[in-house]
Amino acid sequence: MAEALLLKPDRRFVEDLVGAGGGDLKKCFQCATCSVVCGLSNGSSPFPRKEMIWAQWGLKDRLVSDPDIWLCHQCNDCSQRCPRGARPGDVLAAVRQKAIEHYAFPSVMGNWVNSVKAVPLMLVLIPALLIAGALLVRGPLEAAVGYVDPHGHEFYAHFFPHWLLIVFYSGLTLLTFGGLIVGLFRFWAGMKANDSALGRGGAVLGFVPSVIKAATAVFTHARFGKCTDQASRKTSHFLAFYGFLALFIVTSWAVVDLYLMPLIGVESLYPFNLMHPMKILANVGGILLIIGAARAILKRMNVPADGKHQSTSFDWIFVWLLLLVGVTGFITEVFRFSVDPEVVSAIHNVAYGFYFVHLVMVFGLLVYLPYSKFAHIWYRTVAMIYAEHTGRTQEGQSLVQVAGTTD
Amino acid sequence: MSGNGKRGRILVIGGGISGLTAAIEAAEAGADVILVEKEAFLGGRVARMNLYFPKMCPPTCGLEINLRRVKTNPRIRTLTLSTVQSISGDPGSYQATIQKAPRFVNSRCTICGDCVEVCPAERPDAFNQGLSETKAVYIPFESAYPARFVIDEDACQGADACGKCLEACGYGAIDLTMAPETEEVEVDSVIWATGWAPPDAGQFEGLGSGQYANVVNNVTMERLSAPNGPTGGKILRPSDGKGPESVAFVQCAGSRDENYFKHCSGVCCAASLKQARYIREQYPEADIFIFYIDIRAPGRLEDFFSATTEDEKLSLVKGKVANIIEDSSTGNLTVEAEDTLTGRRVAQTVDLVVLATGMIPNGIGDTQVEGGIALDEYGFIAMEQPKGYLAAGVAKRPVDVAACNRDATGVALKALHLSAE
Amino acid sequence: MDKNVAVYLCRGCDIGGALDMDALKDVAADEYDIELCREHDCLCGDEGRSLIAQDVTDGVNSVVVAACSQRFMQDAFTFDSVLTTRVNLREQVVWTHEPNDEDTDMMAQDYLRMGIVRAQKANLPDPLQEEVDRTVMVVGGGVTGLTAAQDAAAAGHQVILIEKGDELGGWMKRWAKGIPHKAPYTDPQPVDVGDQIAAVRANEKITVHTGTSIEKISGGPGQFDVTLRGNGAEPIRVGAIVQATGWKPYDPGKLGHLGYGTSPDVITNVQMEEILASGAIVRPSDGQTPKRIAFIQCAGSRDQDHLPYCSGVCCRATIKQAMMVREMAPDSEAYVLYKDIRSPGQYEAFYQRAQEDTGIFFTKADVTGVQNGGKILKVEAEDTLLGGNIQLEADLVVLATGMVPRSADGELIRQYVDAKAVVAKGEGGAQLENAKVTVEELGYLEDAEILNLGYRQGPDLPVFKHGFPDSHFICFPYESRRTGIYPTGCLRAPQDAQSAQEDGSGGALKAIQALEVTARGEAVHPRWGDMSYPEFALQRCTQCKRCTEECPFGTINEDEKGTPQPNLTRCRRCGICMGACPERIISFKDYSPEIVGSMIKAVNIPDEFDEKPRLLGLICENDAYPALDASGLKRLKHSEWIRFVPVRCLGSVNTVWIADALSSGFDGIILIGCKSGDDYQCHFIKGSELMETRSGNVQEKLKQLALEEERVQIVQVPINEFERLPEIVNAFAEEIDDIGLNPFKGF
Repeated sequence: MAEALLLKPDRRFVEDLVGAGGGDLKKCFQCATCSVVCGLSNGSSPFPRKEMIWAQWGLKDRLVSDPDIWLCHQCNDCSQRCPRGARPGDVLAAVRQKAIEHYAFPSVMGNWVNSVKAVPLMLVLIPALLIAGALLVRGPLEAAVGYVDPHGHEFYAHFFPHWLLIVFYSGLTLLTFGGLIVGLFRFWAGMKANDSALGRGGAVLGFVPSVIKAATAVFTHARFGKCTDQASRKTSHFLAFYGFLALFIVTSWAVVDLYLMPLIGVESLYPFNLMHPMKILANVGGILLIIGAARAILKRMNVPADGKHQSTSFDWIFVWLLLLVGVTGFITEVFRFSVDPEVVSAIHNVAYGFYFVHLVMVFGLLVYLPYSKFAHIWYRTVAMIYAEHTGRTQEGQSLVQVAGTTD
Repeated sequence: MSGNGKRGRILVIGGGISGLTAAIEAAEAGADVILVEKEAFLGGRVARMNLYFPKMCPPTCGLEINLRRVKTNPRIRTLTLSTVQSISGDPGSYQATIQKAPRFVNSRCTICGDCVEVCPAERPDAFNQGLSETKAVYIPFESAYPARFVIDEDACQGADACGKCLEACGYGAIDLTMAPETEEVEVDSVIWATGWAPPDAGQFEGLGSGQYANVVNNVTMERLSAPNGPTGGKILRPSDGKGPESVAFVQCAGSRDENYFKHCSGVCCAASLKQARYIREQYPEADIFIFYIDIRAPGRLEDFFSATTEDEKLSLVKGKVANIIEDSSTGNLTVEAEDTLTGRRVAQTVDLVVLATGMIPNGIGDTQVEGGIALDEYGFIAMEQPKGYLAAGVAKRPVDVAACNRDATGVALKALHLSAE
Repeated sequence: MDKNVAVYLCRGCDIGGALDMDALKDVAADEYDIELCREHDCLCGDEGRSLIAQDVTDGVNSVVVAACSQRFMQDAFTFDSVLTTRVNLREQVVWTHEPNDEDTDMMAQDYLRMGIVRAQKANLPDPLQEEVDRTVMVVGGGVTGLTAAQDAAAAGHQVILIEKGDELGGWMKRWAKGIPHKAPYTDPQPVDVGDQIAAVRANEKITVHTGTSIEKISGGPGQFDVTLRGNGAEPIRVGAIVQATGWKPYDPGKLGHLGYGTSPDVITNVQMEEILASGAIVRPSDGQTPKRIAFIQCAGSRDQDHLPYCSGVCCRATIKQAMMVREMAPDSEAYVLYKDIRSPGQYEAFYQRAQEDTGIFFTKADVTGVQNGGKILKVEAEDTLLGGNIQLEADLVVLATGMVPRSADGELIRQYVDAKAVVAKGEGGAQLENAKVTVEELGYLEDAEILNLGYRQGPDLPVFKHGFPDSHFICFPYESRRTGIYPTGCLRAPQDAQSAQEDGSGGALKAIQALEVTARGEAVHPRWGDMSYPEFALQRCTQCKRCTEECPFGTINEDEKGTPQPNLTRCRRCGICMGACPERIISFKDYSPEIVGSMIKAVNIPDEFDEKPRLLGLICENDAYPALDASGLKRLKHSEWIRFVPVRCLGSVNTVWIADALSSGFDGIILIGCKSGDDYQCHFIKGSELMETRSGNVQEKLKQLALEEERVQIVQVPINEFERLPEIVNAFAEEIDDIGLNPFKGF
């Protein structure tokens, strides 16, 4: 048994979790029905029963550095069967939000990105100003270095040149991504510390094999598939996941095509015509993303009225961003193929307007990734790696006899 | 008024332990009591129990004394197979309509049993939870009071088709023409001792009741353990009549659960401990597991708890059973829970599972009450009622037999007050 | 009144077809000169009954009904001022033995002989006519006593309420709020004991004596003479007593391991009630408002080294206190460390309401210690739900201590007093030494008396377990071992205020009932309605004191010479004194050593050449006899050698019957009674236990007569194991068969 731990009950944190959607967490009386009905829980470190009492006592340090909160895909079987209506599924969701906020670097971002009140500022004003600012400095900059954009004649590039796009977004994204890396390292350290405090943990599987197993689970959605209650959620997630992935690949390729290919003497095919494989991939990805996001939104809008599942701003902001990125992306594309770039007209400004909105949405999605619900792609992956690493998910551990019984 | 024996008229609804105690105590204090019981015998739920906790003594021991008190007390009028249709009026003068179902056997019956010999029809024995059968003419159990046979209208083939019992009875005790009767009575006060019934455990998700043969509830377990039960007191599992080598008790089955019954019945913990002793008595080597949320053994029941759990082959697991899975080839069951004190998930395979189901109040049944009777959100009769209405025992709150007796005795005195005014 | 005995033989229920009825008639006519002996096909029917009724009007005053068991058809065979003797030819003979068989007939004839002898020797009891005062005295002015007083008065009785303290209301008066007592059972409710006190004060049927204790209580039910201490009045006469002396908190001084005494900020839940009632939550040490309050449940409860039982209310009391803390000091937090949360029934809602407060924290925990860190207390616990062992810092620690009944162990006090007397005399070597030890050990009982009963067996109610003075707490919760005195409330069992009030009503009912029943000259529990009572032929008494010692109910006092002084209204009519008396001077009109002895001797003992053993079964009529009936109903055969005689209680068996039986040629005697020991089932508490000790002397007697000790056996059979009963009897028969016949046969 581990050393006696000095409890620091934290009512403020309990209230934070209540505010973040864990409103009924205090009702839990620790019967552990949840840990048993959960298809993803495991034998050696079942959840969410222990997370529920940690939450009741406001043990923030334990919760944010608990890998198990990320092994949950919120199917809400636990909330359905909970005899006290404590909604463990939503409590874990709230804990995950608090974990992302806790590891956010700089930490202020965590609180701002996810608050509805801050939406106009964070998701409209700041991106708009930065983008506008970038557009303002564009001319002077190009003049200063005497740069003539070879793609300047293209429709949107005319409005917002590729080089600026790349510098601007890669720069900011990489900047916040650095913060993410810091958070992930602190998370990993926290998990180890937490486990040793509870006398658990210790490597069972090598790091690399753990990464491979976890990655496989991520790409196949194998664990998500174990959620019995809301299988359709898996589909939505699957679509959005691969839609986003496709768009990410296309975007990256575009950069390669535009600036690296010419260096090796290959002429850039950009802008791709509709039949170009990358364009096809892009359109397919966009459609997947929109369908996935739309499904997710509808699902959340039509939860049963039994009050056993609730969504928060943390969820809403993220799913709406996904959808809007997809939708605005398509609108801008339509304009691009329907408008004659040479004949300048008012329609151009409308197109640029939508493009601008699209850029703002993309900003919200990519630049804020480490602080929004989007960060789960990283925290969950790292937690899954850790889980494999410490043998949490090994089947052999899921069934044991009652201690001290003759078998 | 005191001393002249005129202590008023009381209607007691329910002939279980609470109603029986209330009726007897009031009558011996000088009241005139009408005791109405819907079944064919007095004793209700306790008559079906094997032993009482914590003394592990038979209910019939105390019942024998109480029934003797009923038999010898002219102030008590017992109406079995009867229900109260309606009550109207005010404290001090209530009119009640009592519906008496036909017994088809009159007071001439000597319980000689000649009718049973010839009766061709059978019925599932409700007294034994349907685990055995009786003839259509039967006596609920050997020491039943009234000591008189009764004919199950649904099972009996009737005078025309059969009528064998009519010829067999040498005392003219059988009357297949009996019809339901109603009777109006006027009383000063009414004591509701309507008691409880076990829930249908089939509705409890994941626990396999009604689905797996070897998942029984605690009420059935009492019959399986009782010497006058379907197995003659030998605890055998239903699927194959095998003596269980391991038994799991699942506490709070459907209780303390907002999805089913929110209240705690307060007696199931001690009941399971008692039944664990039944098992140990018969199977010294059996492994016994009790899965619980909180063990609730108040008062001196704590002695019973600590003594019972000294048993080395009895394991307490703090964690509610959420899943039970049957191995259809063996009929064995695997119960799943989290041992919350070790923080590990356990899956224990056993021969027999006993669901500790709770007590669901009968409320006021189908009785039409002028002005109505307030129930609390669990269906128990609320504490505050018009002066002449009193609830006793489990009708009011889930408690054990000892508490029913102490409560019913106090309620009996409250019932005397009206006539003293 | 001279006897006119008539015998009625029922042919119904197979009897007629299975027995030689003429032979039975001959027994009555030839052996006992019974002139009137009738047969009928169904005695319990209207015709049969009117047959007997007619004879009764013609002068028959003692009827022998040879039919079914005495437990059936009582009404049918009850006739005014007629002694009815039932002979059980149905359950005990024809239903359990071979029909038309010599041995079966012999058995039926023996039972008839016994019945006729009883009919000749027994008499109808004439009811005990005693002056009965109908005043109820309630001892203890807490909510239990107040309710008892109110409810007894409301039923029309004068009530005298005695309270030791200066004011009424007990603990509840000192508390601001109580646990909820009605739906929705979610919030603490104000204590309304003030109104109750006012109502009691205003009730002209109730006389209140505060600051008063009891100097002495003599007499018995219906006629207790009470001398009060403190207000100097002369003795009051009351009819029955409700003891509601309540509880005291478990001594926290014994809870050093939980930090009590190490810091003024470790307090009990009772102290916490006082703090809450004061309106301001401040901690004793520095008057600051504690920000973190730790409640430690089961402090000294559920603990073999302290109180082994659970008081059943501390969980809900702590929930209430935690809620009040949060209401009165919203910045403070409450930590509840429990073994199990015990909030049964609808109180689940109370627990849940407390849980929902983010400032109230619950976990299961086994608290291992409380360290005093100056201003901060550190609670250490293991086996928590939080994973591993924990430490918890608190500014105030509340120990949820349990309830100890305010009872006084009358029997123990008596030992102490007797020992003191011996020491005072200062004579007798070993006895004196033992007395000194006893005085040493029991010194804490000095002035422990509460009721000061003038009973030889001690000044207060005997306690059963953990100091609770009850006797049959499941079926007959208010019964004590002192007739007409009923323990209620937390004295009887730990419970919450509402249950305690309900208990008060229950105790009051039992008291009123005792008055009613005593006024009719009948016995109270468990021989309700019995009119018979013991009569003492004192001129033959040898002052052996066995009757005064063995009566479970303290019925009998002694004068200075040791001569018994029975107080008949205390008597429960069990006959244990009768069984105890070596001089056989105690008897009931319808039950005596002489009557039963004659019945035993009436059995026809075949001589040894017939090789028909005869066994005597003395069987408790409360449990074993009904079991025998049940086995008869199931047609379970038992040995044809045995002859059963029902007894009121095994404790009423006088060993002279055993001696008589052996000398008259019985080959074996089996005594069948109820379970003894801690979980005794004996309705007279000590009956079967006493018989076991007496059987020691019986075994001595057997040795003197050079008889095998197996010839006399005691067995305990619970009422529900009726299927075992025939097996037991048959096994005994075989055992005796192996030993061989009684050599005294025929002498």
